[in-house]
Amino acid sequence: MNVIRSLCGAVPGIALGIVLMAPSATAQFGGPPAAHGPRPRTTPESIAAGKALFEGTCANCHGVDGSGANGPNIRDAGTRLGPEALYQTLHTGVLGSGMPSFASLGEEKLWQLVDYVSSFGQPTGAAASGDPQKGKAIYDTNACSSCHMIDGQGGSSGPDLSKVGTVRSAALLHKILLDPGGNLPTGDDLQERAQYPAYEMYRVVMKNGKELLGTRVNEDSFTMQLRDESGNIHSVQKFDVKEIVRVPDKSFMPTYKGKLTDEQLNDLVAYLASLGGAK
Amino acid sequence: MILARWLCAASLFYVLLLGFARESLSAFPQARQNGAKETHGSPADKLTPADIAQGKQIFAAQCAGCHGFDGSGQLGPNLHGVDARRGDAGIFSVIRNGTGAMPPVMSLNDQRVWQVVGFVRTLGETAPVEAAKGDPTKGKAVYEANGCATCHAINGQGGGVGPQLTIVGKMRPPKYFYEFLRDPGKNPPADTSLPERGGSSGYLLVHVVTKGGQDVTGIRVNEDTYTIVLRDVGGHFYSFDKTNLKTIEREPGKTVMPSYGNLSATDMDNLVAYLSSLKGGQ
Amino acid sequence: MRAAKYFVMVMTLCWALPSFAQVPYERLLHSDAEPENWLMYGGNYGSQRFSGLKEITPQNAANLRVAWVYQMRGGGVMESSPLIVDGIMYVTEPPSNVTALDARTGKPLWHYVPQVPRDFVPVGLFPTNRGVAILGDKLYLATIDDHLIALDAKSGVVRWNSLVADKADGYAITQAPLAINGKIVVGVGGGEAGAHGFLSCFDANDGKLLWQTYTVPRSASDPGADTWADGSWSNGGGTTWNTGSYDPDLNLIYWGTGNPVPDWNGEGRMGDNLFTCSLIALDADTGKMKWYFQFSPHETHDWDSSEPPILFNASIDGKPRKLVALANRNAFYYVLDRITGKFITGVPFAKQTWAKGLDANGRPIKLPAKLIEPSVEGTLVYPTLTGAINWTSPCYSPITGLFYVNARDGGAYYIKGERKFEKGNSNGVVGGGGGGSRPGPADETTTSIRALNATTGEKKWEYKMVGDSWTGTLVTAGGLVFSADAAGNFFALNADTGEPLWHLLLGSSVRSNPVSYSVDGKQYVVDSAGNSVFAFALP
Repeated sequence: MNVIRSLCGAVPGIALGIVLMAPSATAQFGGPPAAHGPRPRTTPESIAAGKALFEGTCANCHGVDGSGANGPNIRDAGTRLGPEALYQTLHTGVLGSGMPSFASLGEEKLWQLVDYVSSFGQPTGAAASGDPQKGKAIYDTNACSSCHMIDGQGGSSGPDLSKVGTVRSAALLHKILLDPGGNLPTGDDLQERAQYPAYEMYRVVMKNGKELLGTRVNEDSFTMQLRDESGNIHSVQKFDVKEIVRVPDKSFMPTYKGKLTDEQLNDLVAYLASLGGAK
Repeated sequence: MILARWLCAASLFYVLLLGFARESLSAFPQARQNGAKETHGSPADKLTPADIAQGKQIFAAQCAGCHGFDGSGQLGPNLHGVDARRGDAGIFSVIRNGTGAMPPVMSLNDQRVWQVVGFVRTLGETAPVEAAKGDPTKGKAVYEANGCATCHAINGQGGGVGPQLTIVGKMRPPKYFYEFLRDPGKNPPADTSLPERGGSSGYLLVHVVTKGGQDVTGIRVNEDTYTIVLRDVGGHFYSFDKTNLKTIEREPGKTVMPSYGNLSATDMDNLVAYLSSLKGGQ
Repeated sequence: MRAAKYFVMVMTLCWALPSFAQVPYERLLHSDAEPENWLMYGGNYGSQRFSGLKEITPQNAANLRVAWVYQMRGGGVMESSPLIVDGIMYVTEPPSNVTALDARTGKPLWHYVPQVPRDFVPVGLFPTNRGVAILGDKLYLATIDDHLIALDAKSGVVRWNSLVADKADGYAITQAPLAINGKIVVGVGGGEAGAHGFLSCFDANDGKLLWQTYTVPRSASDPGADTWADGSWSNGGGTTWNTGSYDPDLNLIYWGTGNPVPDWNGEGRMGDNLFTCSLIALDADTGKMKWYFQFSPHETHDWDSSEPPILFNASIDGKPRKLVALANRNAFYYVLDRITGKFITGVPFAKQTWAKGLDANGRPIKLPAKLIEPSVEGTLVYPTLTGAINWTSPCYSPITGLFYVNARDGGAYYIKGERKFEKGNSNGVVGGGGGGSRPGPADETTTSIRALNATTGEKKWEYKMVGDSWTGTLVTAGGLVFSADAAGNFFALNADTGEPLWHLLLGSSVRSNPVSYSVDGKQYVVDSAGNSVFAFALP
């Protein structure tokens, strides 16, 4: 593809790209990488156009801010895949998943989507105004690592934070720290549960009186699996259960409202926002 | 001379392939994406000789263990002529998604799989085998006179007891036909309709007697440690639990197909020429 | 605030205890004491694959039914041997993914998918994974592209990631690693790509390399170099691609080694080619080789000795002995003293036409080269290239004293190819083989479950199957042997007599080893077929 790009100028390149790009019946199987012209320059206009396309076409599955709904969280897709792979994913879809090919949008619109998706994770506006170094000290003092892991160190009952800066905006991190129960993360690596938000809290009362409190890992008509505060899994057969009650707006993560000053919060957010960024 | 002949064959092959590609496109309209432009041929057509050489190496590393280094089959079936049977997209799909006993290949990216497809397409069209010396038109008459169509189908015309012969000319050299027509039971082909049974003799004749006295002889369709299914020449299936059988006699070397060793030399040459001419796309 | 936090912690501890506990080394050491769990690839350190569970017996086996099924999302064939630890099952999926399941219900809990490069083509190895190891609070996974990765066992998040070998040198790993005290041992594959075999040992906590022992000489002064003519030791081979065993009392690791390079053409490497096609015993602390026993000197049929070595104790001539048994790909069943490596006995357990027998030291008395060596036209020799047994595991019951092996009878035409080869390059995909084989007469290759007297190799009973099965065997204290035929009929046999008691067609070949575990007192037997894991239990 690089050869084609370097050989052709922009216009004949696009023309050639359109001809070569025409998907045959084999497109559903992947085929070789789709040919395309050189990537147009990214501008505020192209990002805005991409945003409009995204909210119309993609948000239904990936969430309005790309953090996932039916489909996975793609907020780090721009840094994780890079523009070329992102283009190919849009063009071809993802085999074996619910993501179809969007080749029919045409090359220009696909690049606009690439521009917009790549812009996720760039904190807009209230960028981390705090001091990440101080934020790290606050993270350590508050024993966040008893539940969270960063680069393999820490506990695993809460989400892994190694790349949290690429998938959550600073503003959202701020909100989560103040009200974790009201801002539960969605999306998970358990594709089978695509429609279940992760980290929803349930209280289960067994027929023998025992009570369990945990986040729902998986559930079906007959069984439920919960993860308790220590990260241990409990497997429950529904015919042993008296009642299952959803506990809304609750998280095992405590709120830091009133525990940290505004300045400390900003510092902590700045530290978290720096995690997973370009190395 | 040989080069010219090869080029001629290659271009004929490509023409036929394009014809097939178009047919396979129209057979699966739902495979097209919205707004897709119609194309002819496939991504495998755009491969370079270096790609095909790479495909050959990948084949040797990953595929030859089951299909043989020359693709003529071992545990897995003979791949000669498979492109006419399945088309490029079909081969790609089999590699990518697996089929029967063949697992999907997860470790190759799409470019690599197309390289393998490119190599697999070349199977069966390597060095020109000695051409059949008879007259295919007269051979067609021999075929019809001997009622071969009772058991064999060509292009959908004929019976389904034995293997289809539509592209048999791509899969087998003339030498094979001479040997086979004289003694069909000696080296029966694999039954590719059931890829799960790769490694089992195809068209094996089996004679069973049940505990209740039923006596059935038929072509083995499927067998495992506990069950066996036979098919008679009328196409009827018989399914047996082995615990209900008194005897099972496998009869290798025998087949429902008679020997044609008594054909005159001229008839044999012509028949072989006709079979060698069957390369699909008619 | 603090009081509340402590209150929550205490309350959590109170009811969290019954669930997942850590797996300290002591649990692995005494794995036989907890038959409800399956804590390592081979069941115990002796790789006996013996389950102490008794609920399912010859009397009730006919009532077995499917309890649950888990299907992989991607396509492919599972070859994984699961671990079951305190109600959680850990399986691996091709190429190198890990999935945690609720062992009671089969429901997935989490997946881990490493980023394996998609243009990597391992030579001679199928891109799959055969299982993980567990120690402490971590799982250990070896990936097809030669990484050893430690995962948090509760969540699947990566703790550390160490590189074992460079895939550009032809290495690929499919095996389950072996966890011993504070250490993880893992071998490598790639004998068809000219890789130089070795075993490596990593610190379980931080992934640092502790020792690495090569199985073929690396210089003319290394032990064994004089068994390779003309410096041909530089070709490589002796890969260690299947999980081995461990004796904690002797502190010895036992591992089988693979073929010398190039396969099928030994002309350029005359000599015994140590330490290929051997069983090696290494000191677990230092990696130094204590002894070796070579099964197939100057091997030319791709008969790797990478079969699991089964450690067991039994009486021989009235004296208690520490033994190791190995059913070799070359069709001989060997019993050795596992302290010294001394040969005790060896007999064929499947049809073979290449050796008159074994001499007093266990060395094969090969038939004339004309009859058994690969040739350009193809020489018919039994067993096949895939061997009288391949990677799947046999098992041993201390109750019956029998060794149960899924044995393959069949021959192949061995073809001698070019001697030249180039070191395997994953992107260039150049193989190291010097030939190959084509199958012998169709339908002749059959597999049978054979019960052998473990100390003598004498066959007690045999259960003949149709087709070429690639399933391992499991034996239980309840008195059953489990395996499957080529079509995917999973079955139970009476461990004493071989009588078939139950079977179910699973619809695809069972290319894996069955295991057994229990949750809440209920026994399950598990195996995978195609892309699915099936768990069986009594109603």
